[in-house]
Amino acid sequence: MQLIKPKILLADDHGMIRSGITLLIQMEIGDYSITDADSCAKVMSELNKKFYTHLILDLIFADGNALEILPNIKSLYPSLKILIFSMQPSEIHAEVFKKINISYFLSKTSDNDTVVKVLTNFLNNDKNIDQSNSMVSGVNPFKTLSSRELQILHYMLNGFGTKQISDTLNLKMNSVSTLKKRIYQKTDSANFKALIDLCTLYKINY
Amino acid sequence: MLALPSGKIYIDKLLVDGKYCSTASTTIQLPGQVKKLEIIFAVSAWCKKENLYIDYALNNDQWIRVDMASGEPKINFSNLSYGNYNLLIRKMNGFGTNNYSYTSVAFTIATPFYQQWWFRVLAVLAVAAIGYLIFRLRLRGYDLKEKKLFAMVEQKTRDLNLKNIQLEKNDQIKTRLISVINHDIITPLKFMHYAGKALVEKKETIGPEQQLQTISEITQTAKDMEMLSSQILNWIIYQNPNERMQKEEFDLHQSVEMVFAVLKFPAKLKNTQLQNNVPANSVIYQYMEPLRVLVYNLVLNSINFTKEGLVSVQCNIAANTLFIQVTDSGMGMTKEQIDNVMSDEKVIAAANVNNKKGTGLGYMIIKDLLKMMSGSLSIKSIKNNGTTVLVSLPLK
Repeated sequence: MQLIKPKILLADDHGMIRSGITLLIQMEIGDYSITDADSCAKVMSELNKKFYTHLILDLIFADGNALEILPNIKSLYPSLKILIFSMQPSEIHAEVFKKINISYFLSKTSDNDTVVKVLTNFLNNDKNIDQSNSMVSGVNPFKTLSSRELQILHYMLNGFGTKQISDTLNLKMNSVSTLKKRIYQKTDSANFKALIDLCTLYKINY
Repeated sequence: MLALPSGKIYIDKLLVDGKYCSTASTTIQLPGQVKKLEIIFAVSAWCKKENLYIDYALNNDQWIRVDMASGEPKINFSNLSYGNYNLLIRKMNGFGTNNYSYTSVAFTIATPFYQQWWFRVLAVLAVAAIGYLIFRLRLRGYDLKEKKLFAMVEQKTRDLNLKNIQLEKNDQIKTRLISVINHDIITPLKFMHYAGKALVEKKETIGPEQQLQTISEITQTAKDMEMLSSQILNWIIYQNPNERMQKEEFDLHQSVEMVFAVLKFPAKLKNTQLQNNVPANSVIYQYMEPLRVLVYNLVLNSINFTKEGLVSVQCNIAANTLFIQVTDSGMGMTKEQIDNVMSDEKVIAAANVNNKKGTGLGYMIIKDLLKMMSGSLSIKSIKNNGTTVLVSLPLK
């Protein structure tokens, strides 16, 4: 049971997906107020402008990876409920999300019924059914990557060099190199090609 | 004692290989390599020549009787080796022991050069030198071979490295394509389907404004996906162009018109004008379809970077080179973006336009096409003041 009607911020960089999800929520779940955001910057400014109860958040945006803004959102709006809605396999981020206390994850590849079910649970503040247990094996080599490492991986796959990554994430070049080294170690990849192949295999794409 | 006709022996002449040689000096110098040495002498004797007993000894060797049968008193030597010789000739003068008259001829046969010490030294040196030379030549041969091998290995390594870079690039492109297909085709299609279904089944519960918005979103997405799909096809086709592709004559003005017809819709969405400044009937000789795809991508890029502005295409021919210039009044490119586009090793990081991530496919196709047409590219841009892309293509 909920006290106030959910006010939803829907963040995805694709207009069609925003329209689809909006229709889906309004048709299947309830006539809630839904606002759009198409970038990380827009998410931050919307949250600052208005009060929201729920945030449906994609991971990959044109202006960055949502992992970069999630800690800020968490500390600025502790009561905001967040659902990650992404193409990325959930088990990779499971550890990272647990650390920042996010328990809702919905894969874009899920079928319609699952999408409706998870969204209903999320908006009605019910417990999330943990899909990751039933769906995927536990041997994913990306599972152990930290939030920072996942962010670096995101930019590496986008063809960014160490210098560009350090500029974008405001990190020292040395830190970026160390993080890159750790990604290679944790995923047991000898080189970039092996890493890319592994990403393709585990459906990580940015 | 009975005096027999005694007399001296006179050396008459010396013939060296049939040639007369002076006997004037005490020691006669003869050249080396004497094949035949004839010494003809004369004796004064009152007797039959059968009764003349003349002997000679060379270098105090045994006495040898001179055969007088030929008539002439003559001593022959053949093939004497070099050295000093003393020829002693005696004639028996009468009875009694040692009743001889003597004469002697000293001659020297010169040492032939090949028997001289210096020649031997030279010979040894020469042999040594030749040996050394052969050794050096061999060594140089091995050296050359080694250098050749080394160069070959280096070339192969370079080729492999290039291939490796290409493979890595291809892998990056593959990942990019998978991501693009997932993100820009599969997922939108899924929600397009959902929205369509909702519009069909629950039309009455959706407000007219939202209906319109959803339909326009579907329309836009369909167009996006159509363009994206044809771009993926373009990329596949022109990444490894068919060698049988042929140049032909066509009107560039019309080609640009065709491109504009396709891009009218995205340009309208951005409130951007398209202007074809290529003069009518500009007939050129080039690959028609690839050039159209090239212009398409250049214009599409310009539209993406422009809002409420103008994109124009003009051309210029000079010194068998075709210059195509696409100018826009858009937001311009940063130096990093230009470097990124011009870099040959990297897969182009997609630029972000209107908070929508680009696919990076456009410049990948442009660069593949330019490689195929042996063309080149230059970009000039001022932040917030438009971009000019100049492409030059050989017309031969």
